[in-house]
Amino acid sequence: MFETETIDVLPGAGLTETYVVTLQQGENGVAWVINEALLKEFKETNPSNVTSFLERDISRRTEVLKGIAPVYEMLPLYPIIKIEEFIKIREVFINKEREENLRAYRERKAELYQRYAGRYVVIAKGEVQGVGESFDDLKYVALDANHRFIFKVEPKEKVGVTLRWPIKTK
Amino acid sequence: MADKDEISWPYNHHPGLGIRLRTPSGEEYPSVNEDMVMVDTGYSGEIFLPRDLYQSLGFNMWEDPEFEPVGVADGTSGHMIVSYGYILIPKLRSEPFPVKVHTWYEEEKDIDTVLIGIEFIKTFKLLFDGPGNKVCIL
Repeated sequence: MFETETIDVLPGAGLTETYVVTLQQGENGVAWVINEALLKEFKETNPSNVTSFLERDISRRTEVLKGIAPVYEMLPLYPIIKIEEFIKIREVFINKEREENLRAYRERKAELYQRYAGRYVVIAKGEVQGVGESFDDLKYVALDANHRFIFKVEPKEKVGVTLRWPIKTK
Repeated sequence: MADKDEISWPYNHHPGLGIRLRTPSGEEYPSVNEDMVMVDTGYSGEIFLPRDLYQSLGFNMWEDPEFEPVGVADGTSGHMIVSYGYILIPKLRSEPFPVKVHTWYEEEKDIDTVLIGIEFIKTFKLLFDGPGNKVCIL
């Protein structure tokens, strides 16, 4: 077990109970330490795919820390997470992977239609990850990604959507 | 007085239906009962989700790579991301309705409410009972 001591990674930010994970210094190095009580509450109030995203995120950060500790000047790149921040971080990951997958789809679209017409394809992590005969064949492919395209390779009618509800612009 | 077999939802401001959403992986929202969702006849799709809810439920894992162009009443335009899922209407039947799920592609745009559009309500005969302040499925 880690003997914990808080590092002031973000001066003035304060490490309060609202944090799910905190970066802490122990005798053997630095680690992300999970606030189990908060994580339990988070799991109870969020769908399982959200909590598994958080767990994967913590695991990724831990891997990164193994490589960089104790190079503390790099730590602000991997700050402590508040739940609200986590939601934003998740969106950044999703958007980034969506763009990579979109690029992969557009680059290979002609080839996909030539080789796999009528079949189903999964694109994730910027690559074609699987081809199958049905949606169910591919349901569990690349579930560790943050974004996937899963679709039947067939010509689609371009549908235009209309909307009258007022939109919110950031 | 309401018929005991009537399938209806009372409303105050906007007419709506009581639904539950299901992702292809079986995740449901809400996990029990139903949530009231607004019926918007100005929206031509099946169901629109605000980005936070869309991502929380993991619809980003079931997307189609072909986005759909959208025209807004204020003259602006953009694109809808298309994903797939199911709508359950617990009061009506236990089998889910497969639907196309929309959310905004452009990061700077969003709508902060769930909308059911006319493509979905084509499935039913709906009565908007104004005097009774309720929506009924006939």
